[in-house]
Amino acid sequence: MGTRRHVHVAGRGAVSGFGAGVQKLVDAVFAGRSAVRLRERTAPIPAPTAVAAEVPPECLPPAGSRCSLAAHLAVLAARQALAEADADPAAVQLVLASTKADLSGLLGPGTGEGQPARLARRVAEELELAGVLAAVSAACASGLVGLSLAARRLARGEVEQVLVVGIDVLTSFTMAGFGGLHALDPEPCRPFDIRRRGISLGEGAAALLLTADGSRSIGVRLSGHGVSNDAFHALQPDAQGDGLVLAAQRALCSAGLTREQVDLLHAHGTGTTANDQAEARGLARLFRGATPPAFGTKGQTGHTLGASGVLESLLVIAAMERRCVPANAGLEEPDVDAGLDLVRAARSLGRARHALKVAGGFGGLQAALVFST
Amino acid sequence: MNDAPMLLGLGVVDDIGVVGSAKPATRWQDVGVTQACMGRSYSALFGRRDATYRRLDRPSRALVLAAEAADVDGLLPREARDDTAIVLETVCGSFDSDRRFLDSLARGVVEGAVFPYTLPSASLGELAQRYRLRGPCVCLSIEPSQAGESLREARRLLEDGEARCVLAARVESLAETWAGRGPLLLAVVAVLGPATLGRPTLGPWPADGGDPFETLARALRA
Repeated sequence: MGTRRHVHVAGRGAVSGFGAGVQKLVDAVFAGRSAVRLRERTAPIPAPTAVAAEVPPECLPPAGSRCSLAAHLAVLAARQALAEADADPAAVQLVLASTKADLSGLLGPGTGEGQPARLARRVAEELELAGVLAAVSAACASGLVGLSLAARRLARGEVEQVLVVGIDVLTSFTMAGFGGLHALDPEPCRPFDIRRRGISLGEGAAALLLTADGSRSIGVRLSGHGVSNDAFHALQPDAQGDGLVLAAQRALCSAGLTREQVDLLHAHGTGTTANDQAEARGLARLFRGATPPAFGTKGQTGHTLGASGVLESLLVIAAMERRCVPANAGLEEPDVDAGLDLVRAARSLGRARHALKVAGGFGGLQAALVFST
Repeated sequence: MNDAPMLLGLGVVDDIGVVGSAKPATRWQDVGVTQACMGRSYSALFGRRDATYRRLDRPSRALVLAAEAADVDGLLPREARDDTAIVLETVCGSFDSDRRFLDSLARGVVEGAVFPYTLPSASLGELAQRYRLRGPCVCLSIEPSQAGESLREARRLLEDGEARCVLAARVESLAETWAGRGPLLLAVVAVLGPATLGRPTLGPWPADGGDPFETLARALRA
């Protein structure tokens, strides 16, 4: 193996329940606001919850548009990242990460039939990108797995610029599915809290433009990545969080860091009893009983599934830039391993050089990234 | 890794039957299986029971049978399993399960047990769970022109030292016609790793270009 190249973040984009733009997302999360509210656009969809984090009406495709919601949001977020990086789209490859991509053709008159590769082609064509590097479908770890794949290609010198877009939208399909698994909290979710009853779904798209060219960096590197499998159960996480620990150890090893060097931590924090417990247990063990300050943001953005890894990476970067970890929204009485240092009120950091981000998904998938300034 | 990666094992499942480096070609009707991958096909083919096989969707069943035909369990030493990756590619994804789940919604009955299989990565998890494989894993949604992408990603993982061995797999399952294709069934599992693993190798890395999984499947059938 030859010399590995560094992987830099050059551009960011987001469309979330707070609207279009990274600044809206970051400002809202750091102000403690939540986009999980009474459903409006999706209100006719039967589901055992009245809430979700829908993108606001101004982010929807214009009337008469032939563009599906998924494609529209992905393109919106991607354009922001390309603009911040001042990148020539023709020199950029796409990695798209999603669970169900575009289901518009199965649920209505659209053309999407659930294949991320087809949505990726559509987005790449719309943006006139150089091409599609990969379309990743790795359940709720899709975003981090997509970033990991992109980082590998950049580090190996195979590509120069990769736009990683995470995307998933609210549909009757996913709402019924998670409802059928009794995984939805009827009220806004409360990850890690004793009163948590499940997830709140959200939707959105997020984009990170990664480059090997350090001169174009926003000052943050994707310095490490690791993926593993629990090899335990199709739906339930390993209760000890072993797979998560393995993924995080791989990410730290790939970054050349020890756990003592991690300054902050962004958790997956879905709000389900089993996930939160397993995650906290694993992270507490990884950090020998005392993690760095940790936050999760699904109580504010909703669980945006395949978009969540990229969306939450934006919040990790914001926390590093602000040297501040925001409070865990909805957390009043923690009910997980106390070794996970869940931030209850925004906490300033003396140092924010290295951050760890983790995620997991059905099928035992676990993924972790390290961001460094 | 220092050693050139090799093809250590291979298993193929299609609408004809099952064949693998550890399984002579067997047609479905040879073992009294009337429908490919049906519930009793595991025990009919391998003479033992798998407690959870019946609850799997068809792509997962096909991958499990292909992995058994490749003798994944016999090929991978216990100490290599934490570092054995799975890279799965699929064009069709979970289309069958998507349709089945939507049909259930149309009937007003939410089939919660089907929903997890509407994620194409579900079958990857089933392989990991069966063989206790805890290495990196990824499911790639591909277009037909990108066939073999899992083999290329497997090579990267091996070269970079991120994995000691890799199961590179392709699965396509369509119970009905979709996008001009189908009905079809194809699952290929290739076990890749270093020659130093001490296992007999089937040969060098599968040739790139065209659809390497189709080529592998044809070679095995021949």
